[in-house]
Amino acid sequence: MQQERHNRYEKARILGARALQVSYGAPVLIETKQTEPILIAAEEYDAGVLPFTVKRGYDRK
Amino acid sequence: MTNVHYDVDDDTIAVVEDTNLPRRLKDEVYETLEDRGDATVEDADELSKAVEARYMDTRVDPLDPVGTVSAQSIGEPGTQLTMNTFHYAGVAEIDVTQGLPRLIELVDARKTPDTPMMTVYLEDEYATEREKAHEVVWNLEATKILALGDVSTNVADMRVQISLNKDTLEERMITAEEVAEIIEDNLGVSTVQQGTEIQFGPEEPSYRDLLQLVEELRDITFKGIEEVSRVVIRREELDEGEQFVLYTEGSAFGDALEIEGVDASRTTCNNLHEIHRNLGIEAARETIIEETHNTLAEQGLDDVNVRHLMLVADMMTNRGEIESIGRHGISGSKQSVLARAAFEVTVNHLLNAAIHGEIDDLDGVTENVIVGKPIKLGTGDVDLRMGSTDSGGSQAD
Amino acid sequence: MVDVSQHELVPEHTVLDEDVLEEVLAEYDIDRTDLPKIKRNDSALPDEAEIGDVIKIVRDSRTTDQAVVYRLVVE
Repeated sequence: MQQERHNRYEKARILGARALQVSYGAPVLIETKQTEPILIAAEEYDAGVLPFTVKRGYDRK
Repeated sequence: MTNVHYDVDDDTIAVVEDTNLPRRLKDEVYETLEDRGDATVEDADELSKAVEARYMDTRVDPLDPVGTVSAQSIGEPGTQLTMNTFHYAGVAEIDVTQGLPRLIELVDARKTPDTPMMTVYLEDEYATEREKAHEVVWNLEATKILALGDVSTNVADMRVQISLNKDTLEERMITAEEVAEIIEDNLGVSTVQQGTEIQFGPEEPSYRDLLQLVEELRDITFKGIEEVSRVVIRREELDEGEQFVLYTEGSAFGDALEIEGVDASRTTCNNLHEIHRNLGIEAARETIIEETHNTLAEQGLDDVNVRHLMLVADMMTNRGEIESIGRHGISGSKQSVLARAAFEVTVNHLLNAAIHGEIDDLDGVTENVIVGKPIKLGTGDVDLRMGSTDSGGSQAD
Repeated sequence: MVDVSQHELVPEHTVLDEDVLEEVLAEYDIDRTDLPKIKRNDSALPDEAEIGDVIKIVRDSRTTDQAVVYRLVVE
């Protein structure tokens, strides 16, 4: 099942983590004209290709 | 655990149960569908989707720092509040503390407000007839001897002489005999009463005792409630029609409710503790919201969302009694040593914690700022894992 | 003594049945001690309430028409 939409904090955290990876040279997962890591991350996020999972609330422990 | 008691078909149930709504909202959706009778599965789907979208929109996001947002939302308009204790605004000519001092008084949960007051609503004919309303006034307002007549001291005979005013006695519904009796009970002297004249003096002739008696006499409350120094009567247009409403300076909420003619279902006062004592914690919560809101509204700052005020009131009443916000209340009872130390009297807290070997779990915001870790709010508390296959347990809710 | 429950500031307080309580606690996934508290000597408390009972309170809400909250009776 598709994970529930991320809220703004989760989205910000994901974009931050991904932008850092990209800036360190991680392979970009989509075709893009962007050069800024954060913008690349945003496009990847919108395309839904980012391999992140957010653990929420009670199933964290 | 899905047991639906409503008369709807299985497909509809499947559609509604599939949404992310809480139980009570789902039940309400069923109820609405049931009432419609002719609703199809598509209608049910559309309805529950619409309800779900609306519900998700109104929810606070997980990880939202609601307390911080409330603090800012009340704090900012707070800077525009009057810092002076200006009075005489609002209703009648009653003196009421307003602006910042009143707000501080409320969140500090002071034992007695600076200017205690009651708004007394009346019942039946007491509310419509001026005469009757005045009866209640006399039962509320503290009547001292000077309001009833003249007091003079006869130094030659060592006697205190009171000549009561007959009309005033009648108006305030008290007799000269009653006055004499109250004096005897309070001062422990024997009085001589003849008509509207009352005389008494000290047992042993003594100038000092005589003056002392006069002094004490002035403080006796002959009728009404000791704490209520003044009552203003006003005719007001209410939902129930035109009625007399009383505003008092000083409050004794419990006593006031017992008075005949007082409407014990609407009468209020501005002292949180009196409300709590007489009406319970829920009424106190309601009063905190109402009073803080009115204080802001009085200065044109009522665009502060009530939810912030409700949060404050909920925190203050969470333990079943009124707690102040600050060192002696909510902030003082924090779990973490570091959080308490950061607030006030740092060394004492650290010393005590060291002596007792306290452990800080670093759960709160302050502690984590002190040790330099991300705080557990907003982006700081998102638990991110690599990999899109979620291990163990699906995303249930 | 005046009837406190008649006052407009006092919402309806009722003692919650044990089985209904279980459902509520399961719904929110909490223990009863996580609930807000109400003192045993609170004026608005129904007479039959004992320490450890949970009180259901139905308020007229400022943000919706009615809000249901629960309080645990404590010493």
